[in-house]
Amino acid sequence: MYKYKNFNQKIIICISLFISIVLCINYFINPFNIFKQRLLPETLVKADAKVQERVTKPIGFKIDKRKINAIFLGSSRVDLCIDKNDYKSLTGKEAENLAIGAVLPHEIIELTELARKIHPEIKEIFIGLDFESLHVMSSINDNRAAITKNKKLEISELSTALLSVKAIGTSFWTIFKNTVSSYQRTYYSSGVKRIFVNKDIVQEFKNTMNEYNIKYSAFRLDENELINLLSYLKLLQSKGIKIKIFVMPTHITLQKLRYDYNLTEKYNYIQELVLKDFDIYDFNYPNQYTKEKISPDMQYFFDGSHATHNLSKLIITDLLSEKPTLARKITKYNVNRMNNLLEKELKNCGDCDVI
Amino acid sequence: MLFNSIEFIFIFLPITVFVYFWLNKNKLVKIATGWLVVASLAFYSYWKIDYLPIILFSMIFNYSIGYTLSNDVNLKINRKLLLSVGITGNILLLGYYKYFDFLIANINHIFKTDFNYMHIMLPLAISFFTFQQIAYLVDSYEYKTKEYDFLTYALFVTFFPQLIAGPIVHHKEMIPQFNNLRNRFINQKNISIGFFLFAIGLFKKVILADNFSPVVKALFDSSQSLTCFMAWIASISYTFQLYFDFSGYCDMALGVGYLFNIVLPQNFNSPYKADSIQDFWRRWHITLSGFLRDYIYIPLGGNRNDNLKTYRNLFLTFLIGGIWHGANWTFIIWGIMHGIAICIHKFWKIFNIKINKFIAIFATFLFVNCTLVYFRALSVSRANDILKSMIGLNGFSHIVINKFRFCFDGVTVKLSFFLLIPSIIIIFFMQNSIEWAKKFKPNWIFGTVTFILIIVSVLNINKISEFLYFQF
Repeated sequence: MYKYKNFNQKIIICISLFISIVLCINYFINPFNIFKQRLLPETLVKADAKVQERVTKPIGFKIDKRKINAIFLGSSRVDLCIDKNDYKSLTGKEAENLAIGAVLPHEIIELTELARKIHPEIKEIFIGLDFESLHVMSSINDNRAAITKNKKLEISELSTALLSVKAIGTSFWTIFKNTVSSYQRTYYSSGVKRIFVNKDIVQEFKNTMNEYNIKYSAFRLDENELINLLSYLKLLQSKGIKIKIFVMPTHITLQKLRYDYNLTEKYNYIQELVLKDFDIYDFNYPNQYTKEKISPDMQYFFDGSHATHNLSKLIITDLLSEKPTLARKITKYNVNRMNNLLEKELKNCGDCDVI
Repeated sequence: MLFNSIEFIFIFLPITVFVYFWLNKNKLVKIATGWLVVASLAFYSYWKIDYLPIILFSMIFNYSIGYTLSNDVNLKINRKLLLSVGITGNILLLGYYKYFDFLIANINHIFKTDFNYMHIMLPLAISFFTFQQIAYLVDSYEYKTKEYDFLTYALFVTFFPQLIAGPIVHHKEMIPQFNNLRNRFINQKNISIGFFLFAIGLFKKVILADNFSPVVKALFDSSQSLTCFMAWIASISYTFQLYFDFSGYCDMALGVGYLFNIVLPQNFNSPYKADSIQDFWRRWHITLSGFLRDYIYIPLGGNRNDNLKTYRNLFLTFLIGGIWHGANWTFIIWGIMHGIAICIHKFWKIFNIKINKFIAIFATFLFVNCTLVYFRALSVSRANDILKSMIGLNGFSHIVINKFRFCFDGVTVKLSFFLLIPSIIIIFFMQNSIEWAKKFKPNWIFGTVTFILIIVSVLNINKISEFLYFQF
């Protein structure tokens, strides 16, 4: 029996020691930048933490001592593209990017509420409304629970440190994968543009097409989610907070695919609901950036759905302006004209063979 | 609460174990039992507190009836009638929560009516604790449960390692263990074996089952557009996922049970190594098939009557087994298929024809794999789509392998060789966890394996996932 006791003691001590070391490292040093969702500050290499980011982003926001003037919300399209430093360089004020991959409208409400609770000084909210996230799909509800199911995890640093224990395994793997050259992606470093060759870029675009083929072929709008979000935003607006809604640019391949699946009517309906109370800054149309040819050294897109940081400053500049240069500002007065124009462009897209 | 969660492994379990043995050490035996009941109820309620009154009501209801039956309380009520009331009550409870909306859907479909669905929330584990208590009532009727007090009974029903997804335990194998005072003291050997089993189970669940899950989901969601190869990958992936998920859970349950010196019954015995369908059901969900045998097949007559009646009894038993799994025609069809298969097997045995063992194992696995398509698919039509694809009716696409992964047209997930090949080796060529546990020695090899399995698993608990058998 002594041997078993010895065995048990050693197992418990080894496991406890290992976990404690990991916890301490993450709590005090945070080398994996769990709170900031970047493994290395200058890159877009992230810990594989799709669930955790729903918890860690607000917590990172909580421990952020800056005075925040603006927040950016939306899906991974906003998350991967918008650089809060660009906002600061343009306005001199602080911002935060709270966008989360595959976010749902009710999560935008929850995140906004959390953000305003933590930083009541927020004056501007920019929401990248990803029309595809209004699609009712059962798979979207997988693993969504970190904020809503576990309220206790909402803004607790200790919980995040515990959560980081879960993420560390895949974080190691992510670091490893991303140091292998064939996996390197284009990335943006503040002030310095660095582009690495990505041999798999064509495959990334094909993957996007596959993913959206499925999404678009069975697209059903969740109207209630959108109406709830818009009512909430209207309420915020009445309290003096500036709300700007924009549509992130996607690559022309995705725009065409949407058109091929005959979703313009549904999209127009979504626009109609939004335009009742808000204008839309629409970046998602054929232009010199969205029509970038797919090649290993692409500048503006990682894949069909996600733009790089290289577009961040352009987008933010337009969002801060009442007369944008890149975005098409869609209002309830010009929506028909804009939609007709877009339809013509997509139908007659002569130089859209970008693969 | 899930076994594969940080809060269970590092907070709930250590505290529960520590307090339990501390109370026993201080001779507070009843309080220790009470503590375990409270902890088990807390474990149960962690997911949703709304479920708690249902299990409490069920316990009190069944214990009252069982006590009356087994203690010859002088009531002017027919004992058989009381037993019938008890069993009916349990079945009605299960029927209401689990099958009511299914019944409505079928009535609407058949009679073209438009009754509203109740959207009744299915309480966790209701199928499991209902079956356990039905067995208790039947044995009470036969005076086999005289000495049980309510606290011990409550522990038998709610004991958290087996509460949520089995194994389905029998009172006569559990309550003597709870009452055995020797089990109230820490047993270092059991703790070691418990750690080891728990580590294996956790690894199976977190590393193996959860990595098959996205492939299965993506392929089954695209059931109409799968080609032959993709359909086979979908079905085999699910067959593997279910095995690792369920057996992983059972290993963890057994491991946790060992920490408390409670030996839960084995629920898995390398089922995919079975060489016949009968052998399969002696290896897969052993406690369920035992329950079905003892409380459905044998009361129906078993094999005591002529062949036709035996086949009928077998068929009905498996039909009920299918219905037990869920309120969907897919489960019923799955049960029917297994019922027919077992009847065919029984008939086949008459001729005493020997088949090569490898062919027998392969054929059995093939059958089980194909029937599990119904088990997983959300509807009969989707299951049919996949099976049609499996036999090539939806075309053949070429196999795409990229960097040691199978890639699929129109589906973004990939299946890694590093997942598939080790899974095949573990399932078909390695000993199972119980066999390893029997060989357990407190040496550095077992220690290292336990440590690595736990650490790798804990560091990869990075998404919220459920055990597949939770839905039952």
